[in-house]
Amino acid sequence: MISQRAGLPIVKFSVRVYQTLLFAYPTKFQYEYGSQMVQVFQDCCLRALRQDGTNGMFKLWAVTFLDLIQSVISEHAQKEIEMKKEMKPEDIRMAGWALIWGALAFVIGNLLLFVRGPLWNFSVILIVFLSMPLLIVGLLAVRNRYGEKVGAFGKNILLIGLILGPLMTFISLFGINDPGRLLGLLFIIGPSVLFACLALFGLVALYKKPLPRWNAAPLFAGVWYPIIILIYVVVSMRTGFDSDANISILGVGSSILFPIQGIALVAMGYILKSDMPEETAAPA
Amino acid sequence: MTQTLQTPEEFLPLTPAVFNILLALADGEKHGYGIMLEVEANTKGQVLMGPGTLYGSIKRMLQADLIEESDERIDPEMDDPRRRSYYRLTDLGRRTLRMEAERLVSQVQIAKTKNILATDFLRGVP
Repeated sequence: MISQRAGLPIVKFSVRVYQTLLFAYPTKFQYEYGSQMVQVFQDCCLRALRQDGTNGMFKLWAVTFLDLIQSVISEHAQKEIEMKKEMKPEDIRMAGWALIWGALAFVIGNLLLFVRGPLWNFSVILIVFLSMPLLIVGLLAVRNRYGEKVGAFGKNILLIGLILGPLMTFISLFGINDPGRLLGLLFIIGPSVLFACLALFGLVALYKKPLPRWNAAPLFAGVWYPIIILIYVVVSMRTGFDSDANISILGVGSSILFPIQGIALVAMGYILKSDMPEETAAPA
Repeated sequence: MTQTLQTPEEFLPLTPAVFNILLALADGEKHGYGIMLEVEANTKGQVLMGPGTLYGSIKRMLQADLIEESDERIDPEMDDPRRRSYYRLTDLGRRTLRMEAERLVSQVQIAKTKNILATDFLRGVP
């Protein structure tokens, strides 16, 4: 009887939806317990349907949804604690270097991009496939190392930037040849989102002072790119994307402000790689 | 390098989820759904554990060595051909459950000595 009921559309549909929602859990947890959780949820569906019909299913979903939200938050928090425990001095040093090289690749990529020479394709590869992954690794380590002192807002906003920014940049590759359209614009909006979130993290860091020195570095590392891009997009909407005004905005941005941003990012990488946890710091 | 063995005291007081799972496994091994049903029955429906809370707790209890996975097999009482993972108490889990139960009993004893369970208590009579 039970296996016949398991084929009912409402049960099948509920199980399919639940299976999809499991993607919200950390990958390792999904891999270890996902199939068992789906099995238990299916058993619960069958019991709810048998005892209370469709009403029972609604009640079950209400309970399950709350359980899902609560446990997803709890598992991610747990994962973060485990990651922190696992982060060795070598990992921190490597992440610091990733931030330094990511910053250099980003500045060089943008300089080449706005010069619009024959190296245009190379600059796209440099920004999307080299600098973005390196910056993600470096900034995740910054969040991991200093997030606790900065507090929940700073930590969460940086995480949002680290997810949305690279995602938008990657999506933009499907429209990279048309910078006037939204898809093409994402190529510059994506990094703007990432750096705007870093700037907000930096703003909080100015007050909380989590870094051992140069606490203004995160703000300087984040603020310039979004400002330049915001001005560029606003001016472009009025004068067109290839107007003289726009070219001078990009000229100032790429020649002065992006290098400043790059220096600030390199400074953050340097701080990170030289700031070992006290208990594991190598003896002098 | 020295390895410290965990003691039951380190886990006390237990969270309601962990206590109820240990209690459900006290009389023998069970699979996830079996644990869920037992917890619901033991608490008269007051503790409703969803799959997320259940397996999140199971994961942490396995890490803490309070329970262990016994084997994977089909439950003959359920008309479901899929295999299920069964869990059982470890020695540490058994001792931890015992200590938590003793702790709760001593709390109830205090409640009794303060006449909290007497009929007059709700009327505000000291």
